[in-house]
Amino acid sequence: MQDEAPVSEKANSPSRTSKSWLLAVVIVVVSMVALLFYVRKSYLTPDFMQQASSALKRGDEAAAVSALRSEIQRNPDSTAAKLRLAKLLQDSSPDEAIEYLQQIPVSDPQRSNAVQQIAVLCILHNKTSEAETALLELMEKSPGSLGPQLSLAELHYQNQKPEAALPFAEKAASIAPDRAQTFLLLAEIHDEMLHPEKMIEPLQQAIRLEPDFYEAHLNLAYAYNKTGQPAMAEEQARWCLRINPREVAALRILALAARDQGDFEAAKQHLKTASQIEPLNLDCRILEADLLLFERKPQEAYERLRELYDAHQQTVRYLGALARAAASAGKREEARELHRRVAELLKQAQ
Amino acid sequence: MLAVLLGCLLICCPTLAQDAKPHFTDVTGDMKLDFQNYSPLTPERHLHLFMGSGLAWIDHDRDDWPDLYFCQGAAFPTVKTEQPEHSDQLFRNRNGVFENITALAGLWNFDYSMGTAVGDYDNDGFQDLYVSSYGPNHLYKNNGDGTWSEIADQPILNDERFGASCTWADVDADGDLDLYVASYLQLPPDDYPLCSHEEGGKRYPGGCHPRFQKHEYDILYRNNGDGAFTDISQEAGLMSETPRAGLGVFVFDPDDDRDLDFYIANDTVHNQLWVNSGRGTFVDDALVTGVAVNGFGVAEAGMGVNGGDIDGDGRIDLFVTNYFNETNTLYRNDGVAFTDVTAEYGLGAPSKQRLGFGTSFIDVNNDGWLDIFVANGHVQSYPPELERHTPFAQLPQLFLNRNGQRFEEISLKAGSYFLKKVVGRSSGMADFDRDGRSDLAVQHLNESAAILRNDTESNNHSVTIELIGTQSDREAIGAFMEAKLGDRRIVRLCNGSVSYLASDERRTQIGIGEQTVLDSVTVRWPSGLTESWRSLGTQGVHKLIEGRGHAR
Repeated sequence: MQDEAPVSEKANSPSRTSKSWLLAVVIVVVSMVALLFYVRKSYLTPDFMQQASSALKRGDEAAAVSALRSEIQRNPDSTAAKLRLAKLLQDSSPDEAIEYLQQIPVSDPQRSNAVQQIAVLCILHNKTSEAETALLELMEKSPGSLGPQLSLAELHYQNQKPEAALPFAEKAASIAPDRAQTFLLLAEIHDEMLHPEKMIEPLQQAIRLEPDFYEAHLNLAYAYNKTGQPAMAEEQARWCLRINPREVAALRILALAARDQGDFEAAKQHLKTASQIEPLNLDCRILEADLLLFERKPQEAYERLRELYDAHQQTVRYLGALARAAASAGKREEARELHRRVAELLKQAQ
Repeated sequence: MLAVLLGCLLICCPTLAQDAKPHFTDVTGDMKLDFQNYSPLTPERHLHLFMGSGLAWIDHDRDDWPDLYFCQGAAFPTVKTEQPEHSDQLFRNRNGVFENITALAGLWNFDYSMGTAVGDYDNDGFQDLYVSSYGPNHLYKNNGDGTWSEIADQPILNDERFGASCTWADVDADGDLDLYVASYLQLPPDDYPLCSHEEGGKRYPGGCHPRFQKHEYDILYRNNGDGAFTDISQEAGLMSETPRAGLGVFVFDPDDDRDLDFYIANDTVHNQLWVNSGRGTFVDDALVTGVAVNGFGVAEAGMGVNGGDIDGDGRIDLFVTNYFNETNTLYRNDGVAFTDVTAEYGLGAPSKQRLGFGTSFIDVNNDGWLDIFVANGHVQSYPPELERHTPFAQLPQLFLNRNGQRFEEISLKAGSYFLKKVVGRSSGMADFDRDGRSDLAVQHLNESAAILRNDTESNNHSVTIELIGTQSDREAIGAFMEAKLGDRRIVRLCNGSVSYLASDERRTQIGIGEQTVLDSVTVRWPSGLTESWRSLGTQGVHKLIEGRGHAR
């Protein structure tokens, strides 16, 4: 057997040389194909995100929406596209916006941002249940965060669910004990739950935090009145009237307090002032009628109430007051009919 | 000169002497009246155990001293017991000192007793007793010899609906007493509704809201005159409306047509005013008359009820005790309708943070104006840390009537009893020591009862009247008395049951200020007869017998 050629000689053999050329050609061809694909992608597969940005710059929201939809179609996991699209759709198509936001996975760093937007959209569009779900998720992620607690409290309160609102409001107050507005909300929730006695402490706290917090003073006047403390109610109502002499609610509370303390002339005077500001205020008119009934002037009470009939013939408390005045004035059949209408309205409301 | 001037004032204004300072002394211990209410609360907080029991002033032996009957509660579920202290109790009053004679009288009752109705249903001269229950009601006949017998041969009287306040009244003017029983809720022992309430982030067991439970129809029994009774509830019209949760009952004649009507305080739903057609049938006129709801048009709790002429206009007004964050309600009788004047009379604000039960109309200082006592106490107990907003035990209240114009709360100056928080329930009035001043007995939930002796010092006097019917029922329940004192007219009613689950002494005391003689009393008997008596003095008791006065 002859000896093998040296490596160099092997390397330079004609068969090896042709193989190298072939490899080189393959490499070049593959590279060119790859380059071709890249170029095609660049020029033939557009950047939808870029398109959306450009469209927005020239004010073409529709085009931006279309581009983002395309991006999502191509890249279903694109969080950025979903966030941007949701923002664009929030007014015109909130349901769709919410849907896109909900698609952002829990593990995504932008998830909290998305859930916050979901919460806002749901609150704005009265989707209570969905809003609650979103807020609860935020709360779970950040139990010590004020926003979700407060929003949940507000949400339930606005939807006439004060029992559900209360724990969140209390938690919010403990997280941010120097936020006066939270204590006002707490008081309002207790009022809704028919516990006026529990309104007083949070309102006092609100005022301690913000001594000139007008709504807190007005609500405190109301709470004192409701809990049988007319002198304290009067003090708070007068405070409010110093700031706003046209506050009819405060004038009414003054009238109630005066009545409770046996000063009927003062009560009538406050109601007179209130009626000069708001001549058609129903609650003041009913109170005025009550005082007339007390003074054994049922016909006058009836006439003062009757003036508001057209505006309030579907209002239960008005009809009830008118019925009482009618009965006292001897108009029993009319009273009976009015009571029947009250019963009907209450039944419809159930 | 000054003395002459003062004298003139007193002659012109017999009731001027209002400066007497009302004072009550708790003499329970002194009287050896050891009654303790027994109503052990369950962990589940079964509702009826919070309701408490009633009491009755009753002259059991006709010795002219008012004796005292206390209804007793019971454990739940029912435990068969013969422990004497777990029965209703009768205390005989001898010269102002009490002695427990339950065993002697044979008046054992171990059910959860609620309301009392004292009345001589068989007109034999001895007051009998009807006791309602959570469980079967009972009629006890006074044998007249110091003993009692339960009427066991009339099962309809042992109705097992949850009975509350009850009263005797002659509704068909046949001279014998018929019986009205207010019935409360359907709380069957084997299917008892249980609820819980959220407070401070936790749930606590508590009584279910009465408005959302099943209610019971009240019952009206006609006295057949032969010892038997007939349930005429249906034919009387009591079932013409949905059943309500009846707790309080008061009998009077608001429409002045000489027959007796019933006012029913119902819990959290419309009260009822059953107006008698004169033939023993009734129509509810509460809504139009203005006593179904309060002045805001809201149905309130409605536990105790009493009636009397508060403002001196000669008409019987109504007063109802209500829930926490509600006021008690004073309905002024204006003839054609009633007007809620609670706030104007100073009774609104002081009662908002109270839960009222028993209420007695009592002239504490004998100035001729009816004052008001209220026993307060909640129906929901929480741990101490949560009690500050809705306390279980509460202060009782006493309101002094200022010349029929307004009430002034004088609780904190009226004696040490008013400084102590209790879970107040029933209250009843009698002059137990015969000193011419009306006294009070009060039941408390799971606590000792109290006897409050009226020790108000003043120069004022009273005239005591006992009506004895001959054509009317002997008790003359519903009789209307109009007394004249100078220019002043004082009106009183011979009441059936009153307050919450209670019966006052049947005698009527009329305060006449510093005068010593009541000019006249005109009585409108239930039979329709009207007659007068003149010059009634302050000594002893005036027994006015129907048919023996001066006919009007």
